Formats: sequence, structure tokens, C-alpha cells
Amino acid sequence: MKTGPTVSATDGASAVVLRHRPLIGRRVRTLVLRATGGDNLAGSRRRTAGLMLTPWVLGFAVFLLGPLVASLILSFTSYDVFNPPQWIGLGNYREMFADPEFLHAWKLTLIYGGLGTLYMLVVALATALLIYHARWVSGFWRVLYYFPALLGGASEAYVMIAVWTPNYGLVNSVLNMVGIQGPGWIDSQQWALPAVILMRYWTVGTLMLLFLGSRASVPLEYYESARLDGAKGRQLFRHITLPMMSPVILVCVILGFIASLQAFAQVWILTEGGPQYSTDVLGIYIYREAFENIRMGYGSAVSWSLFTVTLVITLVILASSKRWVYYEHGDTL
Amino acid sequence: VTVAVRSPSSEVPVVRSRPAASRRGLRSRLTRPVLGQIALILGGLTIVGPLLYVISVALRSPGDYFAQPYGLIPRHPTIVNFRSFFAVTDVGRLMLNSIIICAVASVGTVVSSAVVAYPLARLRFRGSTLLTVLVLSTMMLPPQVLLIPQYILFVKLHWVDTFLPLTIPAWFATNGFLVFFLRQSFRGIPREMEEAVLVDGGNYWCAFRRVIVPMSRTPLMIVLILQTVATYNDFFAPSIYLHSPNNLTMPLGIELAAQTASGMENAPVIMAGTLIYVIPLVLFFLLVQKWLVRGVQFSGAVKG
Repeated sequence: MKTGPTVSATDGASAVVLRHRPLIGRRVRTLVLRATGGDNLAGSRRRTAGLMLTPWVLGFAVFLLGPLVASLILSFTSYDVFNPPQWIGLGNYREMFADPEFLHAWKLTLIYGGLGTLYMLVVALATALLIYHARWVSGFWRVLYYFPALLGGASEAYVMIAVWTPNYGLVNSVLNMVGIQGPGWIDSQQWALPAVILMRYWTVGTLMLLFLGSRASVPLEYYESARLDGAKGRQLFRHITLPMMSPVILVCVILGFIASLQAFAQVWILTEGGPQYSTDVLGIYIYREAFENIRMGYGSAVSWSLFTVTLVITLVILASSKRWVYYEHGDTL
Repeated sequence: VTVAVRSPSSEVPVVRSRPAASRRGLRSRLTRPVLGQIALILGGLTIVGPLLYVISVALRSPGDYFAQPYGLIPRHPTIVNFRSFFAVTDVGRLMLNSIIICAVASVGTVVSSAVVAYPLARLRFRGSTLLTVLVLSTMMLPPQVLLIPQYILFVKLHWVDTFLPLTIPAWFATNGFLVFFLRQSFRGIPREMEEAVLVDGGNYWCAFRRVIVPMSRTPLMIVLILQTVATYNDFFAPSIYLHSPNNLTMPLGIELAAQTASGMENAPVIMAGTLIYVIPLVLFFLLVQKWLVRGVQFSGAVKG
């Protein structure tokens, strides 16, 4: 088969120049065309869509939908991988709700997710506005503040060990220099959770970039006309900046919440859930039950509680968004 | 949907001070920008500080380490901790494993996400909006829900302790967020460009290859960057799928070093490992940061 520009002989006088290599062999193509109804543009569009979506359909079935269904079924069984699963009905769920450790893990997860997301949003918004209004070198600040976001996950956690470890950590060393004896942070039951929440400021860059982009796209005329009406700094922020940024804030609230509820590596590397379960968020609880105690059924049941709550919280945030999110163009997707 | 994004530096006139203040002269007009810069410098220290401190701990000799008070700068810098880290782990191997997994998974993600995003963006068919919502909703699935059955699946396939569980799923557009991100960016490309190809007798695949892909270099690059970094920093999946010392990735290697040489005095060794782990990321960031800055303007356009 020729690959360069070719004049297709069958087209005769019209002599269409084909500048592409056909997606599939010509003989196969003829067969497919016959089967799917003609060589018109609509038919070709449907075929191409079908072909191009195939990887996603396969991946969705094998790596997402299949495991999702399997996990639901497993949650009604007792399964240790080596022996066949035993059907135990609601046993896992009954055990789960009777386990104070499970309820404790949920409490920590909600604190970590709620306070953590709020904290991230405030820090990101403040940083974005500071950078936006910076008179000098704002490009430099943008790059600098974004940079640790690329170190999220394991690198963030390893670097944060150097910051929050009580005996040699950066925080306590600095406190020491000004004469304050710092708390035990990640080695203390009382301070470990605040430490793993506080450390999240470091990777605030992604949210900051989204806010910066959104702030930059607010039309300047709005501020000018509001100023003519006598509005001052705080009012401008409250009545123009916040409403205009609210769609992006909504996206960030949802993404932040989902990611926080699933937190694992950042907490695990710093504390492994300790000391004394004081940072035992649900991600760690599931890991321990499923992969250390090899209780796949119970782990599945717990992870379904996580999935359900994630869904409910997302829907609640979306439902509430009608009250506080302002869409200028009236479209969302 | 397209909103022009002004660069923040051109925004200076917006924050001009009130007329009363400007009459008072240069000093009061400079107060706010200077305060802003001071806040940014202080914040910047909390961003850069931790990394510099990792270097400082990694360079400490045992004498420095036990010195009181614990200073911010080591008195007798030494590279002995790096030697210890090299002694307990096979760093070359760990790094090679990390890089192989990153490369295969990221290329797979870019290719498959782009291929899947195009029909969702452009080829209207029955249920295409529903499918987009479905793609987007896969983002909400906690990895923990999928992990247990996926683990069992990979055990049955004998894929555990190979790189396959960490790389193959990436070739099937399994990251809903990235697919959606590309779909949104493809929609921003003027239709006329594709129609020119179709009129010339090309098919949709040709339009995708010749128009959409070349015009989407920035979003495709962003997907590549995000996936590379996420894979490099992944701790959860590798810790479940990789067991033998020859197969571990960098973060697992540091964990292993922490367990092998436990005790308080191994902290400088762990920090030496952390530094070796983070340096490629920092270089990568310096290499690609221009794409990410373009991405700001892009995300402004999409979300606007």
C-alpha cells in the first residue's frame, strides 16, 4: 500500500488527494464499511468514535467497573486470597460499625478532609491573590510557589519528615532559636494530626494556579464600575472577586475533598497512622486490614463506606453550589 | 468559553491606591506592593526552607547531628550519609525502575487519553454527553475500592512483583480527570481546521492526527508532566505490587533504608536518600515549567 500522497484510481475524474494512511487495511475497510452502512461522513464518524473509544471501554470494564462490582460482592464475604471466599452476608458491615477503631478512623478522616480542604483553599486563595497583585517579579513567585506541587505524594512526605520530626525537625529548630520548646509533632498523639494537616500548605501550588487563572479572567470593567459606585477593597472582594471565582472554587472544593478522604501515602510515610492511632485515617485503616491482616472482604466493606460517603459529600456540595456558585455564561459542562 | 487571560504583571493599574493616598506621594503608594512582596518572601521561605533543610540534614556528620542546640546549618558538612545510603540500597536500580515505570505509564496515558478524548470532544454520537459524565465520575472512585479486586486480578494473572500492574492500566485511559481535561482542550480548537482536512478527503482519524494533536501540544505536555510526576511519587500501588528488592521504586527504597538502618541517627541517611529522590524531580520541573505556566492561561480559558 502506498503511503505518500496518492491519487485514488476509483474516484476517476474527481481525483481526491488522500494525504493520510488509512486507519485500517483497504480490504478490511471495505468489509467494515459494508457492515456498518456506507461511506458517508456520519457512518465514518460513528465508526471512528467506536474505534477510538475502545481502549477506554476495555480499561473501564477490566480496571474500573469489574473491580467495582467485585469489590461490592467481596464486601459480603470473608476472603484471604489463598482460600476461596466465604459468603458471610452482612457480617463485615456489622463488624465494621461495631469497631470503635473504624469509627475513630472515620472521625479522623472527616477532620483531615474538612479542615485540610478548608485550610488548603484559604492558603491557595491568599497566595493566588498576593501573586496576582504583586507589582514585581510575579512570574518568579508563580513558579516558586507552584514548584512543590510537583513533589506531591511520596516526595512531599519524605521532605516533610525533615520539617516535623520533633528532635531534629525544621519547625522545632526554628522554634528553639526563638526560645520556644516545640511540641512532639509527629511523635505526639496530640500534635500528629495537626502536623499532617498543616504540612499540606507545601503542595498548594496546583490550587493556586487554578485560582490565579480564574482571578486573571475576571473582566476589569466590573471593578471599575463598582469603584465608580464607591465600592472599596473588601466589598470588591466580597461582591466581585469571590462570585466570579466561585465556579473554580467549587471544582477545587470537590477535588480537594475527594483527594483528602482518600489520603494514604502522605500520612503513612510520616506516621504510619500513629502514634497510638492518632492519625489513623481510613486509607491507612483499609491498608492495614486488607493488606497486612489479609482480610480482603472486610477491607472491601470499609472501602465501600468510603466510596458511599465520598459520593454523598460530592452530591451535597454540588447541590449546595446552586446557592453560592455564580455562572456568568449559565453553562457548566 | 475562551477568555483572554491577561498576565498578572500587566494588572498593576488595577490595584492603584485610592486618589487620596496617591496625592500623598511615593512613599504611601509603595506601601501596599512592598507589604505584598514581604508576605510573598516570607511565604517563599516556607516553600524553599524545607528543601534546603533536607540538604542541611543530609550533610550532617554524626557530631553535628547530636550537637545542641541543633543548628540550621551543619558545622562539618560531610557526604558520609550518601555513602551509607548507597551501601544499604541499590540506588541505580531503584532509579532505573522508577524511570522505566514513569516512562511507560506516562506515554501510555498521553496516547490513550488523547485517543479517547477526541471522540468525546468532537464526534457527536448518541450518548456522548452521558459517556463524558461517566468518564468524569470515575474520578470519584477511591483507589482503595478498586485496589483489592485489582490486586486479586493481578495475583491471578501472575503480574504481582512485575511492573505490569503499574504500567498496563495507564494504556487504557483509566484516569478520568486527564481524559476530561484533554476533551475540554480539544473542544477549544476551531472546527474549521478539521473541516479543511475532511473536505480534502481525509477521515476523522486523519483530522485527529494532523490537526488536533499538533495543535494541542501544551495540554498533551501537561498530561505527560502530571502523569510522570504522579507515577514517580506513587507510594501506595508500588508498595502493594512490588516485593523483591530488585523491583522496588525510589520511595520504597527510602522506606527500606529507613527500616534497615533504624534508630535516630539514621535520619541523615534518610534525608540523603530523600535528596537523591527529589533531585530528578527538581530538574524535571526546571525543564518543563514553561509548559506549566502556559497551562495557567489554559486553565483560565477552560474554567472561565
